[in-house]
Amino acid sequence: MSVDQYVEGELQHLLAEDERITEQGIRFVRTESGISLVGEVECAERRDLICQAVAEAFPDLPLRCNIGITRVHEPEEVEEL
Amino acid sequence: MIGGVRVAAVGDVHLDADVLGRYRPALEHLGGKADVLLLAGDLTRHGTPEEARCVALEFGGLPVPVVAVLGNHDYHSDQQDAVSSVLRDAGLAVLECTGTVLTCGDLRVGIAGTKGFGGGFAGACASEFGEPEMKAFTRHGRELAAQFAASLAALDCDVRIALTHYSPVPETLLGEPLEIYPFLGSYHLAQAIDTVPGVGLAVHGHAHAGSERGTTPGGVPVRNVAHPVIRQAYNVYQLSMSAVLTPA
Repeated sequence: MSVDQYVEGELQHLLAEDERITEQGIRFVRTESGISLVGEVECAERRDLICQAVAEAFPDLPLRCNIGITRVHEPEEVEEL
Repeated sequence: MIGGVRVAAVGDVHLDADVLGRYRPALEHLGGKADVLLLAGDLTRHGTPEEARCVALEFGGLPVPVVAVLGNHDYHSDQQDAVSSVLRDAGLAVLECTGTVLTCGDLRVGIAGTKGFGGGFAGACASEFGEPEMKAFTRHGRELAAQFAASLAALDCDVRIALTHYSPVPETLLGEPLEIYPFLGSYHLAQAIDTVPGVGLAVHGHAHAGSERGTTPGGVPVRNVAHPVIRQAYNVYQLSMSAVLTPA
């Protein structure tokens, strides 16, 4: 299955409007054979759900998940303004 | 506190039960690092009272005041008033074209906040022309910005801080697709900030793929503290005494 702008558009709607997901911060990078999902979410469950939803909607689309989990460590620096 | 005020800030934490407790370890020493914590909207995923209770648990009972605005996610279920009530019951200040003044040492720190809205930036912005939907979209952002300016001006304080969800400047959107800038912020917010003297810092969220630092045309530092941008539990900004105004 090739990825064109219409597929990309459908993916964008899917991630934003699926009530299980509601993500607007994931980018789609077209690869030679499919698509790579790129971005960050707050936990592994949300990442897995995104990949699952895309795989369900486009079962023939080779998918690579490059979604990371946003870190929540304590800051060590202060910016002086 | 020596020589100013320390402002901790984060936005777009998108809390629900799945991630409850993630921030809490990093907040343990907040009292030693900051005088106030700002939450720049998108506190929940779907804007439900249940998710707001997660926010209340995560950011309630901290040793510093917590001041928040809501974001577009917090409006998704049309329960934004209930969301705000849950947060206020937990001791958070929730601003929408309103302000609050905190005392930090000898300083009165005024914070005005609004969700803000889109509309775009000078030279490429929406106008109240054409279809009623387009007029309504544009008018909403302009009206919020005007009310926000009034709430900033009304603060009786030594230094002002502007807190929004949408961005007041395009610089902190760098990294986002240019095509969606009109949905990420509005220059009317920057105009509101620049209209009022003595704003030492403007903080916003919303632009997950944007950049951290920008400046309004009037020279006010702008910081995008969306969690995916700052990549830690919160950032801390020290406003020096030179940022402090003497109200007219």
